[in-house]
Amino acid sequence: MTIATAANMQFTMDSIVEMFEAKHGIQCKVIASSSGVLTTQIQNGAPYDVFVSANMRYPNELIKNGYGEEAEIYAYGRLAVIYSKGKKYSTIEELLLDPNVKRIAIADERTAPYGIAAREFLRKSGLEEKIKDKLIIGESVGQVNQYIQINSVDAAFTSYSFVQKFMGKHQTLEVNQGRFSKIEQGVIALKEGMKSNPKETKLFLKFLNSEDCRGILTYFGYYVKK
Amino acid sequence: MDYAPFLVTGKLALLTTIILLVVVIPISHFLAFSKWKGKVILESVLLLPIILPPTVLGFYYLSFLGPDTGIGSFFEEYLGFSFAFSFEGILFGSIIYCLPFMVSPITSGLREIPKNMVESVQILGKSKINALWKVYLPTIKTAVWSGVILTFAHTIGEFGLVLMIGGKMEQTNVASVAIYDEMNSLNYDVANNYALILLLVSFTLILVLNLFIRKKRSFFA
Repeated sequence: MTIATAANMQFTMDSIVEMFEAKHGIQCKVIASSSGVLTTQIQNGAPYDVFVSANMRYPNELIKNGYGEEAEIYAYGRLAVIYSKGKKYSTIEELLLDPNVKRIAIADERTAPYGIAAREFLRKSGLEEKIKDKLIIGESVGQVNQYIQINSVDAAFTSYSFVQKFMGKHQTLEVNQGRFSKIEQGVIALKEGMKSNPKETKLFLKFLNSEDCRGILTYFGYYVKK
Repeated sequence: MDYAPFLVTGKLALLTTIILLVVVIPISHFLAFSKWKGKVILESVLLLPIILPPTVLGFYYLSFLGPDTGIGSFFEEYLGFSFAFSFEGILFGSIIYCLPFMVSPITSGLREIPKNMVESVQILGKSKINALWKVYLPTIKTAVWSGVILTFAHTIGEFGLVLMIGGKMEQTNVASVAIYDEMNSLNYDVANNYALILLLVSFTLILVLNLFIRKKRSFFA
């Protein structure tokens, strides 16, 4: 079966899928991109069975257009700022306003939910105008990660789930949950999946809600419903 | 509808073409007339972007010229020039990317100049620059125009590289990327308009190129 997954879930999904495959013996193919890009592909006939989004807006849009019937929240995302180089900062404001921090990557708010969250945080904290010229927009958190990984930027707003991956060469500050609207990550069984692989699709959705899977999600830094 | 992306694309294509034309003529002259054996390697390197996936180019570009690299930080610090995330950055990238489309036709054109013409120019004792400017270039006018139109058209179609090194800033928001973004933001109407304009521009360019080459051919026949 084919699972389209939001870029922020990429590594988490690798672990989830590994466990799912071991448990049920179902081969999965994972396709990662920004939620907006995947939504466009689905609306243009991409043969995905399940869509693991980074928000509820895109799954709801798909339901409205008849590509699925029901979406549910599987996790709440956390927003983090990752930065390189030696200097340590105690607050995000201090980091972003430092003149030595010349480029800050965020995901495109038109297609990436983590980009929306980052924008909202910047707007509400009054930082947006001040650092406007420093912003570099990435396609998704995937590209944002790539920019910070090869140090093309000095700081990057990304999903907290990547923090482990960046430990060592980079440092992290988490954006307080109260400073942006909740990132409600939704999953939806697609019409295509219910038609060609109904059994597998349902099993996967069930698995996403299982204790095992919640363990993985928590490990990677997502909040799950109690 | 916002037409700014077309202005960025137009500016990028125009500047890429002009700069490449100036840079490539001496290079092509060298490739066509030099007796140096190693030139086949130089030529292969210059033509590499034709087959190299733009993503490979973008990856190496950021890895070697990105803001944190030695070269990248030097240029930024001392010359205020950034190879990535700026208009001059995508311009430089697009010059590399489009190099083959200018080098290839002009070099072939120069190679096809009849031997006796080259010899008589030499007998007349014209300087190299004079010969190139007054004799060779007018002779291979079609090839030069092909290079110009192909480069211009190719820059308009540039997508992957800009996506990787552009950083979606206002000054790097080219039309091809704008279409992609509008489509992914579910703004199909805008994407539709953008796409139609690009289709028409591209078709016109190819049509002009074809008419031009045909006219020349019948002239020779």
